[in-house]
Amino acid sequence: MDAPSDDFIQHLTSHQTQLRGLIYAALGNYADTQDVLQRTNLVLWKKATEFDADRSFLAWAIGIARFEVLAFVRDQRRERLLFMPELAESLIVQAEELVAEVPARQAALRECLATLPESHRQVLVRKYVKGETLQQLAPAVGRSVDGVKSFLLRVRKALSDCIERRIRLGTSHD
Amino acid sequence: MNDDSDLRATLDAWLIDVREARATPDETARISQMLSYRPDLQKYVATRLIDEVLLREELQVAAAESLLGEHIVLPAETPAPPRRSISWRAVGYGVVFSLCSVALAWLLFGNRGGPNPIAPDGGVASSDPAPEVLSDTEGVAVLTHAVNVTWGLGVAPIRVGERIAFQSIRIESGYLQVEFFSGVTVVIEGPAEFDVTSPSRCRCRRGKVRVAVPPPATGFTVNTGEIDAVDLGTEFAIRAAGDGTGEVHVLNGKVDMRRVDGAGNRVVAGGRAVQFGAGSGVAELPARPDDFVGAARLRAIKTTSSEVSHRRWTDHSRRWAEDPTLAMYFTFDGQGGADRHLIGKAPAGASLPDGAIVGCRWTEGRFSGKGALEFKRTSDRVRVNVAGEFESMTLLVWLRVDGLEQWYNSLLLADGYPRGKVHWQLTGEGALKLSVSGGGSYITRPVIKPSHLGTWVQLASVYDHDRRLVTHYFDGEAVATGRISADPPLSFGSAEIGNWNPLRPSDTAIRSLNGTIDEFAVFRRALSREEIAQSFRAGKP
Repeated sequence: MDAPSDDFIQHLTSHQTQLRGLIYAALGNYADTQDVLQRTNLVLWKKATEFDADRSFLAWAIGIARFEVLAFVRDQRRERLLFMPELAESLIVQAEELVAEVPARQAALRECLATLPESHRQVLVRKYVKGETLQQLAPAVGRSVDGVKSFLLRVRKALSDCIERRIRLGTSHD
Repeated sequence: MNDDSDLRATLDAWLIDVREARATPDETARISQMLSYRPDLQKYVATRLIDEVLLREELQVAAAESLLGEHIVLPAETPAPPRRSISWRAVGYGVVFSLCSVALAWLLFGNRGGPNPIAPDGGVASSDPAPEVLSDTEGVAVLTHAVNVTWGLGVAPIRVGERIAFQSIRIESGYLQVEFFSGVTVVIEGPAEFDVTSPSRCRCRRGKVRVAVPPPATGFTVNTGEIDAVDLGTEFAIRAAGDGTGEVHVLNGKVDMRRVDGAGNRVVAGGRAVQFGAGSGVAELPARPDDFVGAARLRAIKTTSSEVSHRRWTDHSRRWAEDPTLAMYFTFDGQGGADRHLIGKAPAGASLPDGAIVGCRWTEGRFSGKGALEFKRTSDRVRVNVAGEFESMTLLVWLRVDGLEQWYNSLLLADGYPRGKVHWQLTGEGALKLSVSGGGSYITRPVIKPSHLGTWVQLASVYDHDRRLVTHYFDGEAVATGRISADPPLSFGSAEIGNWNPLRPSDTAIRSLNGTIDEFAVFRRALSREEIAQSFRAGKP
């Protein structure tokens, strides 16, 4: 087997976030998402020579990721899944339309995060990077579990409003 | 669409509960059923989930960079990112390792940022998530001059132009001039311990201060610990030894010296001086005004000191002008008046761009006698043509920002934004942003804070192509490091300093800067941290 080209590796690495987002949108579970993304990467790697440089890498990779997601949900016991296979399939269709704008969303999010007070950011880091539970966060934050939850809801809402606003304003103009 | 916003709120809450294993099977079944016939809500859920992935990645990158010591935007107590838990499961998939690039190894085995190998004992300093109150815009005084100052250990230096509110000032040597909003001017000579305690009161336990009080501010009080010196008109000075003793010299008008224990007071007349503290006699001495530096003499000292700084910077800038990797260099020095042509510096034999000044007014820069251009009106700009294409790049500017009125505030922007062109600007929040069309952007958290408005700052951004790394600098120190996927070649071509020519209609077409620029350099290479720090030291006013 020939080693894939630098171009291919560049494509593969630079589209990881989009593929991860796509898979997560259909599974809603991070550990499973990482597994399916690994499988997808392996398939892409093995099929590297089939990739036609004139076509969109993203479209090609999305097709393979979709196949891997559907194979995964079919093989799992239903009670392990957050979304049943039919719903997972609908969600991945929706997500496919969204991945193209992921780089713009990410750039917008970065700017929005920059405007957040440091203390808010710290809570997000503890929740989403360290994976602390609401229960763990509550005493440190000085709020009840429900208080932390509504705080998170508010910050997430503020961030997504901010992202939408920036996308509307055309961050792509920079 | 009230129903839908309720439904969306329900979905948001459910998504959090799911993550916490707090959602009941019933609830999940109900929501799944509703989703199954609502494509619009499916799209909403997909968006929220994708955003969660992005959020996680952005936060991880920031945390990981802080661990590498390259990202000092986050404070030190930022939690460390999860340790990379290596999954050897993939080995069983029969990957041919010899073919794996580092990139693939990372893809397959690294970056498993899942929850959470170190969460429970991560040892994070707890932080209060209550919204922070910005007190930057408050203040009772402003620091107007700082000459030859060595700041006390462990005390954050204050910059010229910065507002002071109820804070302690410690200097080992040098002079500060503090102007209270009440109109009182205080010149402090180090070593000194000086606290601003209210608009009409300050404390000086050690050091020499000379206080000028205009009539509306009569009653201004300097406390030395043991006594309150209350102004009854115009000008006085205090020398405090730090051990509770010292002298009050009344240069003009009168001062009421009151013991803080209420044990009495004494009015001292102009031209007289009195000692205070343990063992002090009652004898009055003649006041010695020449012992205390006032505003006028400080200006003279400053001019001398500024000449020294100006010379130091001139030496440095001459060396820079000989750097063969320069792509554009304006010093704004030696020009002024009606000049509409901005002279670009260049090493011998090289042809680097000059600028065409549109609108901007000439004014004084960082040093007395140094030129600078003021950008005030939305039409003010300097047009330049920066030739060539770059792989790596360094952008550096000395400027005084007076306000951040626009969504984007231009430093140097290529006309339009076609592929490969570079935009360098400040956001309305004061963050520094470097963007390459088609290659992404990297932005700091806000670096220009309200307290910096009106003060001279140095900003620099470096794109290091070999490492695909952007590093932003504020006053010579790296404040943010991140990756953008800029594909060279980068270029400016026709561009504007302090403004933008969008070429076609844009929602954010007005990007005029409100401020003053007195040095601007573009290099076709990545300057090192040390080079940036050095240029800051050489150029600071």
